[in-house]
Amino acid sequence: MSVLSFVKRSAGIACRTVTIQHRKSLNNIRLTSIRLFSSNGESFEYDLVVIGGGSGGLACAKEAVQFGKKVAVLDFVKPSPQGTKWGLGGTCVNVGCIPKKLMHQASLLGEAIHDSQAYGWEFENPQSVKNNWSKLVESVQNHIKSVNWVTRVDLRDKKVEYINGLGYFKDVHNVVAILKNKTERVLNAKHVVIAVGGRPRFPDIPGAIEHGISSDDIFSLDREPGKTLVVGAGYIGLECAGFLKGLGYDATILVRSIVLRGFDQQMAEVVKASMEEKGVHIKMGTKPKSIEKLEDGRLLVKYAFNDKPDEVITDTFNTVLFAIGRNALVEDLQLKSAGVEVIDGKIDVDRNSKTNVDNIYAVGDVLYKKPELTPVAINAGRIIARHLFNDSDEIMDYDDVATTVFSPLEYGCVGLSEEVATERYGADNIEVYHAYYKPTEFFVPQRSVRYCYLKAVALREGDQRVVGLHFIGPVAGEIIQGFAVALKSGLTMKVLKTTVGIHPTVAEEFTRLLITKRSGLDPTPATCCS
Amino acid sequence: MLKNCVKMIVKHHVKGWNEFEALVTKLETEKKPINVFFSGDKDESGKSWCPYCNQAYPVITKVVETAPPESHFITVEIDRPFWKDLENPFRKDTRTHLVFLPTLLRWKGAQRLDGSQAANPDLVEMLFEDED
Ligand SMILES: Cc1cc2nc3c(=O)[nH]c(=O)nc-3n(C[C@H](O)[C@H](O)[C@H](O)COP(=O)(O)OP(=O)(O)OC[C@H]3O[C@@H](n4cnc5c(N)ncnc54)[C@H](O)[C@@H]3O)c2cc1C
Repeated sequence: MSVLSFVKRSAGIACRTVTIQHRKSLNNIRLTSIRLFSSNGESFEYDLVVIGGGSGGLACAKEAVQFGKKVAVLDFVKPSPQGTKWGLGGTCVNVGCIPKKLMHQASLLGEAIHDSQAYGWEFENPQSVKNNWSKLVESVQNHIKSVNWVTRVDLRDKKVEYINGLGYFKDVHNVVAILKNKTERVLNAKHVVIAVGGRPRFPDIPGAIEHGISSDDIFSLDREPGKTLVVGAGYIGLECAGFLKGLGYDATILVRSIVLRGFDQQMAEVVKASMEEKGVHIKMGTKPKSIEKLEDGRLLVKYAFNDKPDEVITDTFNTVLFAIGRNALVEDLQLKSAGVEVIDGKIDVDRNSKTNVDNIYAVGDVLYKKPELTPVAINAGRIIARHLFNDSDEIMDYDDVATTVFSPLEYGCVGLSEEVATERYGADNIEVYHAYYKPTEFFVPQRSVRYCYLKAVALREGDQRVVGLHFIGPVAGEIIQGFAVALKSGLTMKVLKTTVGIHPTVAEEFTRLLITKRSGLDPTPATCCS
Repeated sequence: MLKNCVKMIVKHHVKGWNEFEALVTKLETEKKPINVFFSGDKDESGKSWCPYCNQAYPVITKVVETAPPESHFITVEIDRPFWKDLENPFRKDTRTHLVFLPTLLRWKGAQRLDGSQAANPDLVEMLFEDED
């Protein structure tokens, strides 16, 4: 190709590009001029604008377009204090469930490699087997990027308009998107769904924001975490400390008061003990005071026990991870402009997920006193769309939502904790069945079975309706999911006891629960198959 | 505008794995986005043995014309017996890991469209325009 024809051709391309872009903007103008009319004659540009493209927001938007509605989703990720940012899809996909489960799996595989030797697998230098952090991060991040892409393809395919902008309310029907280039775009909507989720909180102590990281950063950390201090013992703190230990890093948890607040505390104690057995250091009743960066890059942490606040203990770590709780992202929304009320930094909704403002709904982690879990947000998001656009009277059932803590030895549960059941029904009216058990697979590699434990909390009268199931052991999540269906279907101890187990599994232990706490009998098993 | 005029997408056309691998290895060093269209090869009449490829081809050809200029676009033609061999490198190599023909993807990126997606102009446009 001669230079001249090259330039000509390119010019042609450039000009074509221009015409096409021109056509696109014309299209936009045409689109915006098609206004939708509501029953009272008011017209809107969109049937629905969703603020927040995470689990709840995307589910709601995708469901709404099924009913032929015009829908836009705003999603914008503000970088963490350490500068970490990510793509479309929200917490679960980018910095929550997904990377967490993959790192948990990486840690379990390490254990499996170790166990495999007892099962006859041979490899050179078993002692030298180690995890390559940067390879793990690369694999995890590649998976996340492909999920981000597939999400965008899905939205485009379903004709949900995705706008990469930070949203705030101008008034009840107008949401403003602040785009990347700082320009603003007003979206006029009949209905608005708030699905902004939350972000990790940092404590107000010197050095926390400057030197600390959170779950927002750990899954893409560009260096090995090394010796790590995790502050906080909710499920996120335990999970992070658990997989880091499993990957070969020294892990310490500072616990202010209790482990796994909101969960059954007897089970929480067992989880804690099982983590300590695996070598995680857990310091109960402690609080960090400050973090300083040493010249060699390590972090000097000062902390103290709550009962001896003046006796400062110091230790050095490579990484300090805060997992002390999460704040809902209500601040940027300028909720006052729309009159949406905030309680304790969160948004309260009625049984139809509606806020105090008629056309504004909310879903997911931003909600006041609702379980903060992805499937909860997804279900509630879909129900909102069906309620708004398909006359559905279905309401979100927040009761008996199953969940699992992916600690090295997992803890899955559904229904009530023993404490709540006792409080609700009275100690005399509940029966708790429990057992320690020994997974068959654990014998050969001589893995500890000390903390494999389960219990069922049931009403005492009649057929003994089951109100809570709790299981600590391998693949707890996989096990509890099925039992959650049973519990929601009105499972009784009578039915559970007549159910024949699948042998040899760990799930069958639920069908073998015979010992009640009330009987005082020893819940430890004698042999494997008695 | 003038800047746009002298820069353009560079198009390449190769057949089979070896030609493809040699080309992409060379282009990689330029650090520009590389988009690759894997498709079944064509007979004399210009038709491929792979039906979805025939649907995708005109769509992609059209979008390429308006794609961001600072990039490469490679069309890879694959013959049927080679593709049907389940052990072939297009399927097995971790960098391609193809499952379907056609597949349109961003080299070393997460962006990937396969089967009928590759014939959807909206999605194809999004793939070409996506910044890593
Ligand atoms: C480490 C970790 C592990 C977890 N593990 C699990 C698990 O195993 N199982 C489980 O079920 N749940 C888990 N969760 C919880 C789960 O991730 C959340 O419950 C879920 O993501 C909540 O969805 P959401 O739609 O409310 O918000 P999110 O998914 O957080 O999405 C909200 C989106 O809105 C964006 N946004 C915020 N403000 C604005 C604005 N003004 N304008 C535009 N966009 C905005 C945010 O950037 C974000 O992308 C985990 C969470 C964490 C942090």
